[in-house]
Amino acid sequence: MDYKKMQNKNYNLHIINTDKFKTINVKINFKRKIKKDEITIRTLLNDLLINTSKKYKTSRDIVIETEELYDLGVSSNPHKSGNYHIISFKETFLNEKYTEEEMNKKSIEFLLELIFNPNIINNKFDKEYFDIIKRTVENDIKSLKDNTKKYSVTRLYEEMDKGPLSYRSCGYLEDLDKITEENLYDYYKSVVENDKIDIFIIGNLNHTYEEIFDKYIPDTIRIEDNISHYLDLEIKEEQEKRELIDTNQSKLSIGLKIKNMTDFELKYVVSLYSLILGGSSNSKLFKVVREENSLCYYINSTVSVLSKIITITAGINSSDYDKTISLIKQQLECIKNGNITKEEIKEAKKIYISGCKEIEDSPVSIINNYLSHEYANLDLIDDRIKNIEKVTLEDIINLSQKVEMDTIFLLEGTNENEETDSE
Amino acid sequence: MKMKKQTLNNLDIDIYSEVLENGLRVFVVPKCDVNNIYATFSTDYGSIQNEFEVNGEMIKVPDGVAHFLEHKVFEQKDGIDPFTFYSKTGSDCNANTSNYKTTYLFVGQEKLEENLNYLLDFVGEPYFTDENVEKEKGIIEQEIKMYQDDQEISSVEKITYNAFVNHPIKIPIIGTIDSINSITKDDLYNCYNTFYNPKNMFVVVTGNVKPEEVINIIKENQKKKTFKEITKIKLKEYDEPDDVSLKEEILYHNVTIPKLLIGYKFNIENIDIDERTLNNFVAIFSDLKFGSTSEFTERMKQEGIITKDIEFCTIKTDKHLLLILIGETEEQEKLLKFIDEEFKKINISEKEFNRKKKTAISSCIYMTDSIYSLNSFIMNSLIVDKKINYEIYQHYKNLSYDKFINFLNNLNFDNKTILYVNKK
Repeated sequence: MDYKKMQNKNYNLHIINTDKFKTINVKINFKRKIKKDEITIRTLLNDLLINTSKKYKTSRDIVIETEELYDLGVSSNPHKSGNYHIISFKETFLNEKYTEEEMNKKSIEFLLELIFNPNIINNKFDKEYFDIIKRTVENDIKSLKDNTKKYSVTRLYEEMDKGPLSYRSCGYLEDLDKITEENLYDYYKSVVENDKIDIFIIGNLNHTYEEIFDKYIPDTIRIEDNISHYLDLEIKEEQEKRELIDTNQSKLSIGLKIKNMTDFELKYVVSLYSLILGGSSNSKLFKVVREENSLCYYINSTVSVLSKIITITAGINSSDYDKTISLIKQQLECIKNGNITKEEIKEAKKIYISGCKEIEDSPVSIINNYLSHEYANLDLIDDRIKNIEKVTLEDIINLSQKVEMDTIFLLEGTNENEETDSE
Repeated sequence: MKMKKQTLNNLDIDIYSEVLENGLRVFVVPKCDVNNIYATFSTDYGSIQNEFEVNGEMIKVPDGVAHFLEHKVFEQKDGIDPFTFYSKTGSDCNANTSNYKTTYLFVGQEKLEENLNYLLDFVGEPYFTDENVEKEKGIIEQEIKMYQDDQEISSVEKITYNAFVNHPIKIPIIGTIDSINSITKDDLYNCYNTFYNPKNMFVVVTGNVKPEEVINIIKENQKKKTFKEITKIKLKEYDEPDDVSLKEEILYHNVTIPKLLIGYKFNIENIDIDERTLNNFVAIFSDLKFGSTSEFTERMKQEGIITKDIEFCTIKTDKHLLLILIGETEEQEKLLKFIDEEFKKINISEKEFNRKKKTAISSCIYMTDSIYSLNSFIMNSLIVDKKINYEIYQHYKNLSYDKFINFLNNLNFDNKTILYVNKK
């Protein structure tokens, strides 16, 4: 595998050459400093670009073209990344070695057409499609509560912080109301002209396709926001919050903040800590809360490196709330007191390393690995595998002293003992 | 029988296979440029086999037993469960139950011999006690509640229930809180002893392995075990009528935008095409009529009736096929009327049909890049085709437009059940 970063233009082009895959994957990211009142417009813009363009007017035309391009897969995802917001476009297609000549070029052009040649009439987005997509975004915002697990975590983050962690990725209705076909086009221009652009391309390549990117990407001067991707959240008193919802199961979400981590702790120790706590089917939480006490079907802990937090989620009966919380707190204490076996550390390291090696099997994961290196200065696979071995029991105990329980949020099901109604 | 090597034609993938003396079928696909090894061990036993013969007597087990059993197979006499074992090498293990099969699996990179032996051993020797069966009920109860809260899962389960009359496919794979609470250790042993026999099982290993090594490990492992001789498993046959069980229902759930589900039930006994082609035709038809490339969906979006694409899925038994369409809409009656009208027109051109063929052929090539897709393809072939289809690429190339149109002309869309999903 051969990686090359070309940064002599107003965008970065990251080329990863490997003969492991029959596909080629392209990812194009637009990034700028996150602002709460821009999330909605960026979400709407993202959805509009991926569903209509000058050349392919309707989403039907777009999908038909992807089929003509040998079942090309295209998607986009507006998301938060610490202090930044990213609109990310992605495509996967078969290398032309397996289809027909010129298909690589055509497939890359297809994605660029969607992004850089939008459906604009008289300096505004075409109204018909604008209205359709606006309604879709509106429905997505309104349906946030339909996915209770996700909603519970969204509410948890709102209780933990007032900054970017708390912002809703789907956007806000009051911001959506203000968006028109005209001001969206103005915003679009500022994105393609000012956002920092990173392009990743991976596959068996004998060409960089630079000239195609050059042709589409506006030749403007982009100013870097010199802020870190990492958030620094304020540590505050532990709090418990509840909200009622008409469901059978209660969704418990717990946020832990970790203060003053060293670089090594942030990159490695916290990952092992979370794996041992609740990151696998052999973790402390899984064993105690699920296997020994039958309180839940799922319980997990995950690290958000950019926010420096750990999130624990579980689906429980609200009547088991006190017992579950006390068992979880007991396990956190357990780690603080050094009750971790050599085996647990060894296993967590093995899981971490397997995860790293697995990255090499998937083109999308390889791109994401380089991306986190580019944005957050996280290490690449070989360094990760080498460095994780250095973590000791002391390191984990030291880190555990820095872990602060912040918020316990319960989305409380009020329908626990009834079957779903129907007539 | 000796190890056979056969090629998935046009796709550059070799599949090595052997049927062991005890009847266990083994399939290996080596892929040396990946790090992972993916091994699955499955039994031809899922949620629908819930009435069968034990010692000459027909018995009926509680709903949800196959899935319950899948959880309990993880219970071992020495108290060390598979999660603990596989964590040692940083491997992942899991299991899943469908209508037709139960699969145990691991994904890992090292200690192939230990990991593979352990997979065969833990599935081969579970340990059920009254106490450990009781313990699982709380966990599965939470799993059931999680699905009940999921409006997508609940609504598909509900319409399936309403479409079928007698066939156990109408019951959710996981069962109900009442049914799982009635499960006993004896139920588990009855099912286990009937269906977990090498003659009824298969192993599929894909990834960074050598085929000879894999097959030898499995052979040596199986030599050390003794299995009860089984005769052919006798299953209850169901007399399932063609009519749906309930024509219409309203389900109240936590949806912000109401939904409309329509289930079309077809009798497929007399359709003269193989099962795979049938599946392909139904998928192509639904996609062209109601998918993201259909004129219909575009018109519905323009008229503001839907904002998201209509989704569809199918559920099959030996005699029937249920096609389910799922739309999200504030105007359920209008959407229903438009869909009904749309079914009356068969206006699919050969050009459109060929475009769908092209994507199906491409998807075969995509599949060969993933050890997970290859493994699923083999498992799925054994269930659908009862053998591996080495000409899968050619199969898609050969799909015929004329046969497709002929197939459509013989479908009757009048036999349907409707589910309105409204906000609680």
